[in-house]
Amino acid sequence: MTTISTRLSLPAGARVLMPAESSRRRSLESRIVTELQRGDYAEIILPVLDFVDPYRDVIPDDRSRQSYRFMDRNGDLVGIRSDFTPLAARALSRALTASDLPLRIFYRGEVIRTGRNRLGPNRELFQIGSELLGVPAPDGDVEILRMAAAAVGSTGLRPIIALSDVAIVSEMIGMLEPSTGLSLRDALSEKRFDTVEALLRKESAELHELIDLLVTANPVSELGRFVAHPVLGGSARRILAVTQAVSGFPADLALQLDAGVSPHSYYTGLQFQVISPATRQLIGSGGRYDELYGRFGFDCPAVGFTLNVDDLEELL
Amino acid sequence: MRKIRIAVSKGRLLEGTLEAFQRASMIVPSPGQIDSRRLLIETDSAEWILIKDADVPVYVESGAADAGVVGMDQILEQEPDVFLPVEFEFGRCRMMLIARPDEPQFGSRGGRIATKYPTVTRRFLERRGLHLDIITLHGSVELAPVLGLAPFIVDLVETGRTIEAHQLEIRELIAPIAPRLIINKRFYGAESVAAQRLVRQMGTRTEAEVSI
Repeated sequence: MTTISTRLSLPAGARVLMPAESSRRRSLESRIVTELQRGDYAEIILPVLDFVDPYRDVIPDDRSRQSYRFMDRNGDLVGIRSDFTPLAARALSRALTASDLPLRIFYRGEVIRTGRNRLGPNRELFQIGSELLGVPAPDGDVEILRMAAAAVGSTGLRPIIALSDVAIVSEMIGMLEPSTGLSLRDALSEKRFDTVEALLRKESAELHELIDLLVTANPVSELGRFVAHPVLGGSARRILAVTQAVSGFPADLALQLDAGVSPHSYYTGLQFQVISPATRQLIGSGGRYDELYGRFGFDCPAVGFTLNVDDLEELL
Repeated sequence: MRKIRIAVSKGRLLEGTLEAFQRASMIVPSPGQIDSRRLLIETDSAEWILIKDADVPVYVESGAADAGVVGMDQILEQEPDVFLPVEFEFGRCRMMLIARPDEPQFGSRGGRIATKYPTVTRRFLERRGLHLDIITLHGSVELAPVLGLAPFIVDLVETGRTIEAHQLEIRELIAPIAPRLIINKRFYGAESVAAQRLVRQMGTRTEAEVSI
């Protein structure tokens, strides 16, 4: 049968799902949603459109340009949602009070990204996202990781969850002279070890030891040496607490402290990717963003994740 | 779990790349396997994909290959979202601005410049505040000034003999170019032990890093 999408011209990345595909999508969606509801997460429905202006300090301009943007009839710049997390933060910040916390929510729907991508056309992605508000690390981190593993597990897949941490990387870089710190962040973000070596040639042995920690695979045992460190101790204790608590999850965990974290993201601590073990395809991602809600006027710790349901479906 | 899949370029970097992997105690495709025209070759160490150098970044970025070796020219041109952990000594060259000897230094009056690297060239011109029309070619770029297609070119120079043979003149270094090991970011995150073993085997890292 000729599919509708081959006969109609649609914008790049837009898709029509035929009955069998729609049925598969809904079945998968239903399993994930049931799992989230079992974890006491309640659904919220978020708008498809919002003003661009309130997100200027939160979303870097290049990311913001990944959404379709246009002028509405009042001359305001409006964007179609391309990322649920900031949208949820702005929407909820206006409605929440401290007595609502802790709050467990999830949302689902399409996000549309126009950004140039060499690996494929612009995309319409169906996502299910989940957030835990008002529970700081490490307890909140452990809960959201458990929820992410269980949500993916409900589809029959045992994922790899690759954990990283933005805070400890920033703290280490903050110990350096600013221009060296910036260069080191760039080099680490691309894992250019030859540049890292050159930058650290004149630095102390302690710093070398710290950078080793960043580039070590699964550095759980090494982290123990830093729990009393004056700058890094808090992060080291938190990461250790999370890794110890999640060891029994229905997922394979890989800790890599510096996994190429973008300095411009809104994450402030835990950051993770949910990966298919067979194809190493990215199924979802998440992390902690304790400053995001505060930017919209409601200060509260927050952690969450988003699953790309289409990508998950391809693997099943 | 499948074997690590490594993308290598069939071009000028192939020999040096295979030698580098061999030095790292990996079993690389034999000359016979390479000549067999098969593009996916399995050895005890890895699955090897033999592709054009310009395709290595996209295979690795997408995860179709876990790692690869490619020149910095392609990395600068394509800006793939991958890790770049190891730089190699072999296959080094320079990306240069080249011109006909009678051509004056370019100013802001415009003109044409031919290259296989339109993105790098555009950035170079922007840094200099210059506005030239960039003509994208896919090979034999040195012909462009000789035949009057464009008085300037941006291209890789290894020995300089081709430039000399066409009576052209090197004007400016744009970037030193060396091959790099590139690694898919999800592979690095999910298979960090295997990824770091590869980096250690291939790399020029410090003693402290090697002791991981």
